[in-house]
Amino acid sequence: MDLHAPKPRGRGVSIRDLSVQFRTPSGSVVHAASNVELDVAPGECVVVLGESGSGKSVTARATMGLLEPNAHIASGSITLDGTELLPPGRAIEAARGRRISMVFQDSLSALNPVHTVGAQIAEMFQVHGKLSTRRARQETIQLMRKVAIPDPDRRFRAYPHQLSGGMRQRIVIAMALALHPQVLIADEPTTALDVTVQAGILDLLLGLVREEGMGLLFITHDVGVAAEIADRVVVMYAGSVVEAGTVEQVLVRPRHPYTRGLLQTAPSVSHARRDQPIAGSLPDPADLPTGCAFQERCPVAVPECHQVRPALLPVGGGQQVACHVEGADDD
Amino acid sequence: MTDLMQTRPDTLRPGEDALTGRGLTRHFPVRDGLGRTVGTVKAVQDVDLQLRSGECLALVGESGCGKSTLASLITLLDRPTAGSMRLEEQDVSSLRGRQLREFRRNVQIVLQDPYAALNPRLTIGQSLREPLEIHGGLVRRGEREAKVVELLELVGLDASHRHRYPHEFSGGQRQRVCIARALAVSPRILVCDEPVSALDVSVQAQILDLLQHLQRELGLAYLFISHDLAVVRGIADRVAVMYLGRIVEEGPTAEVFTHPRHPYTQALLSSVPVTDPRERSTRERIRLSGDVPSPTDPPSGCAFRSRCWLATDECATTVPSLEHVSADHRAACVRLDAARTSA
Amino acid sequence: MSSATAAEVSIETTGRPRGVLRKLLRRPRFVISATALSLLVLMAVAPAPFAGIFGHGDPRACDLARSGSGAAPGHPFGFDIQGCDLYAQVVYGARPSITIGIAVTLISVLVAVAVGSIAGYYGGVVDSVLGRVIDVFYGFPFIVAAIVILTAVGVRNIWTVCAALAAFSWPTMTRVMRSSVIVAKNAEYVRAARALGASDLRILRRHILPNAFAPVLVLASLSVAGIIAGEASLTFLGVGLQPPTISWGVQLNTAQSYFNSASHLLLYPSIFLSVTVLAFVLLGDAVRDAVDPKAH
Repeated sequence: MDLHAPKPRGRGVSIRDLSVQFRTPSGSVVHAASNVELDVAPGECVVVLGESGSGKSVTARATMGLLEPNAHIASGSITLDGTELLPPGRAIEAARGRRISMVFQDSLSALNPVHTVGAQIAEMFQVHGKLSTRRARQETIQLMRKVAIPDPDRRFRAYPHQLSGGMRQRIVIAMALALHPQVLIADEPTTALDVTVQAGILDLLLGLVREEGMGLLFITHDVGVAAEIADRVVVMYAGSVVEAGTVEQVLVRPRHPYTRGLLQTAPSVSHARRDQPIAGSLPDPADLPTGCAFQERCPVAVPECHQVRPALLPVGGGQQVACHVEGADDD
Repeated sequence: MTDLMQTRPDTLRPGEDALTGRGLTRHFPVRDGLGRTVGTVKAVQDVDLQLRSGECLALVGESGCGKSTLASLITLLDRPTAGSMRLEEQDVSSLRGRQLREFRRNVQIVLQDPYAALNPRLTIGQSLREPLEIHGGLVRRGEREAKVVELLELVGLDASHRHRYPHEFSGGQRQRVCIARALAVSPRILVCDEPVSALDVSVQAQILDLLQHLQRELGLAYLFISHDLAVVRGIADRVAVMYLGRIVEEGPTAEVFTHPRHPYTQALLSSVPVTDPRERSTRERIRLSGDVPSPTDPPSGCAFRSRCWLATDECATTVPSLEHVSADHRAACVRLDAARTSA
Repeated sequence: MSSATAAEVSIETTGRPRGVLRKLLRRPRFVISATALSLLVLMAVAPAPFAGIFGHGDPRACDLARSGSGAAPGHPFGFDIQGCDLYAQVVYGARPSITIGIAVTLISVLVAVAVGSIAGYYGGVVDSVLGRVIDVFYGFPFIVAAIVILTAVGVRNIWTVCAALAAFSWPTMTRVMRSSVIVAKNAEYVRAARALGASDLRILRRHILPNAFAPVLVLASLSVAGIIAGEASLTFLGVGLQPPTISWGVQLNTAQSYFNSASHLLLYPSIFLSVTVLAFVLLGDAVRDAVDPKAH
């Protein structure tokens, strides 16, 4: 298994019209994701940007077939390299960890505390790659070197709690990369880390996209991180995609009022200016209003917004916006 | 609002030192399973700090740099191993009992996690009445209900909210309640320990707006502790950067952010992602190697030298002190001349 | 900042302290167990009206001629070895069992709250000393220790049995109290109260005890069940209450010798004992769910 040879990386992930619902103990239905559309091509970094309850993590877990038992996929299709992954079953089981992998925010709980990190990475090669113990160890150390873990021979024998948060996240990334997946989903992988450590992890992930043609679906709430690494950005709010396009389209010329508000209020190190924050709070996902979910906080809402949910429609140049006001006017 | 102003006649003119720490040091013993001391965590090391009346001083640094320990020392929730603290002219380092309560009336704290900072079994009204009960002389019993309503309205909540419980509120609303609770005793100084880092981005902006509004209205001084440099840029007048228990750079916010002098500050700032994707190809990046060393065994001399690209032999032997680089801007680095050209 | 999922959001909308009773009343488990317990407690307080339902309410009006015989008109449970009405005996037997169960639990709760709060809140040397004392008592097997005490004392009445059971039932609750006080002590809202200038007493009374008591409350209702079963075991083994005291334990103890010839002697007291124990266990479960905002 040579990890350095570039390989053709398939056709990536396509999510069409995905709707996920949760049934709460009290019997109400939470629309966690509604009609989500998302594509990740090989060699591309797509950032899903959103706050709590935006549906960004649910979309990722649905793709991996890792939804909670009380979740229900109401509609939609998810394909990986042309293979349909829904309903969750054998298709995703076979692909998970091999052709598509995932990295979570909390690296400590993603690792088994009673085994060394080296053994945990090597297990990927032994179980899935059917390598001998010695070969698996060689591959592991090579992989640890690739994710820039200094002194991999020594770190091979370390236990998770003996490593820093940044090192642990690199170990988790190494495990995700062991079987050379076409697509990596990273759910807030740097949120718990310090900025100097985050910078290194982002460099590492971007390197994998640029040099090896891996597709990266990166989930974050941080506009800065999106601006730093994204090729394309998908903005989600209260379970729906509200805007999608290239990083320049979405983060420089945003069309949706929510994206605009987010960008105007997102703090930045390069200037002290802050505009009026978006008023109000995120809607209750169990009790979304009819029409647009952003209507109550929207500065430009019209009567139509309270009645009809806006569809995600193209506004030119590949940019898509779900807004009655901003989506309709020109090109 | 005006009532709050009147209960607390400001004895200080803006710009005077309100709170001063000298040589603040806090060491925690590390014990083994048998209770024997096997090491020392040097959480805060010889920190000098001046918070001026009416200003917002930000304390920034990454996890484990000692900024939260310093917040505990400044609010007298913890006592320093060495060093002293003054509130205006009064030495407050060893206050107890009634005098300590008087200090708490002047210096209040807003904690990071609004989900944990409110007792789940008390209504919002009960939580807000608590400071008024503790400091019984401030507001007469019969007027406390009115004061609670006034506090709720001050932070942008509704008077009817006082009958509800914390779990009925969002994170942002709970943080407003926590701010109202801290303001109930009309303090002059508010220590904010990561007050927005548990909140969503759109809600963060609202809370920061509220804090700035309150600062103007009430003439508060803030010690604003944060790991988020972008947030600090928007709110602070001055900023102090901490690394491994020491302040390595301090100065006016705009100056530190545009002309950082300490190599660590330079690396920190260049690591923060900027929100404009057009800048990513033009920005200069400094990537630090390795991890932050353990505070039980920091490097000799300058604690940053193990990750510093400018480090020389001198850095291993000398603990650099804060030197002026301009009138109000100081940095602790023996290689300031080299650092200037590298930035 | 975690991206709260829809499931997390929905959990947050439960668990208002004031609504605990209303929430309990909506649970069948609570309604059934509370109804059963109310009846049993009423029976323990005023046994005569219950015993008299079938017209033969005096447990001590016995006719040796009917010793061990089965159900008869007006005697639905039949007769015991002395020829007394078994139904009346079982009804009167509720009082010692339930008294001991509740009294021992109350004593344990009081000790647990006092010792657990002091150990948990002050920590350090106080905690170490109290902790070792708790461990010593915790280490004894509950029943064996009670047997030793009762054998040594020699006097066997409700109060000595209570004392013997209480001596070894407080450590479990004290440990739970201590650890939940430690959790509450380190809560951010306690730090916030301290920063406001609250005194130790105020912090304990207003913030720590209300939040730390919930797990002990749950354990207490489960403990009543254990104590009642414990009392029955002691009596069954011959070291608890003695005849002529009427109790379920005494009845079971007598019944063991006549199991083959008169199995109803074992059956009816066991049913009442089991129902009581089960009712307390169910009550404990229901209370746990109601006071824990995270459970649903």
